[in-house]
Amino acid sequence: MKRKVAITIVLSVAFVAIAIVAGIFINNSAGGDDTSQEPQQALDSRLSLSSLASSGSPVRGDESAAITIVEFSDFQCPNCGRFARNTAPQIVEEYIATGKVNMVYKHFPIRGPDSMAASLASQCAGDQGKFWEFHYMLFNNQEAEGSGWASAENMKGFASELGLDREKFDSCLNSEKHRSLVESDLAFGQEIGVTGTPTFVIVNSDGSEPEGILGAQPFSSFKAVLDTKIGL
Amino acid sequence: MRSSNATLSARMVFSDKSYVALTIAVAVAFWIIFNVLDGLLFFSPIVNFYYPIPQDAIPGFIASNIMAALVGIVVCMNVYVFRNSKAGVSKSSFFSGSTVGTVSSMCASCSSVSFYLATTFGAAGVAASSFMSNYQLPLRLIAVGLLIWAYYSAHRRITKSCQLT
Repeated sequence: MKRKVAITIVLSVAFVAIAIVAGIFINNSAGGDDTSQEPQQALDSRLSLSSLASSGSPVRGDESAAITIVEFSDFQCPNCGRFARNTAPQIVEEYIATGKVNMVYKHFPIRGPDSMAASLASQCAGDQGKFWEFHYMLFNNQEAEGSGWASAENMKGFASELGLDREKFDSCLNSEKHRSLVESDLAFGQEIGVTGTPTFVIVNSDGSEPEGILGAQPFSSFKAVLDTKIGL
Repeated sequence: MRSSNATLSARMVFSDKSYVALTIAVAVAFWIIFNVLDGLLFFSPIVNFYYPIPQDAIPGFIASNIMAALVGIVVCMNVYVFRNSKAGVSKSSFFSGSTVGTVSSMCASCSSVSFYLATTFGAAGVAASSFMSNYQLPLRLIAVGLLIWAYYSAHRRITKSCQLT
């Protein structure tokens, strides 16, 4: 009888341990901080705010902030929408509005042509100074993946709703003006090991000490990393 | 009389505390896996559970709790059948139920699974990923149905061995 109980306990502990290990593996599988492929210094310079901003990536917050959050995201991804709606406003309020942190958006459109169209459209909105407004508009109106809500035609509708200059916007979107930027974001993400969205890489403003957060995690996860980096 | 018959197998199995422990362990293990895949439970950078649960995740969370509990019960009942009865273990409904349950959790999390599907299978991978993401809840309901069927199969095997022939 005692042997049976012991076997049951061992089996039970093993089951839970396997689940936890699997969970940790899944959490780390998109490794935003998988930087082993590239010499650290070269990576640091590519992740520095000056480099990210000069490449045309949208930046939000004080550019002199000590910490930068680099977000890799897809407008069709439900969890990216969850992050934008639930966690991002808290980060903005506590860290970005107070000048402690800034945030850079990198495109990672992996859900078909509509994801690419939405990325291109958001950059076109950025040309008129409304990237972040357009970004929130898309995430707040997100529908089922691949249902056509993010088609190029619908993007023009969102642009009108936001009061953008339609002539400029349409010309930008039709000519795919920002395709090379979006494709280089995607390639950069893949180079540093991003395989899922949303993925966040939190770095010092010079691009050093990258730390990855995978998934639309709650605010407390970001707070833990940011407070440690800021030294609170 | 009927209801007592329906729960007879459960009462037989769970009268032994070690089966209760095993059920809880299996259910907890699957609860962890489902919630990690759902993007509600995280182990890195800190151990964290998404609370309060986002509105869009509540139906999936309820379904995954039911699935985890059912997987625990069904595994345990099949272990009981394997050890105490000459009747064979019901494999197909259990495995299909837990597989559909796990698969339905995967792509909604926008995890690397959907990235691998897209990069490996191109448009077909994107379509498969979208299908699993958009039909997550119906897939989970199918998984619950399969697990209930697996429970019923195990129940019949246990009670059959009690009948006088």
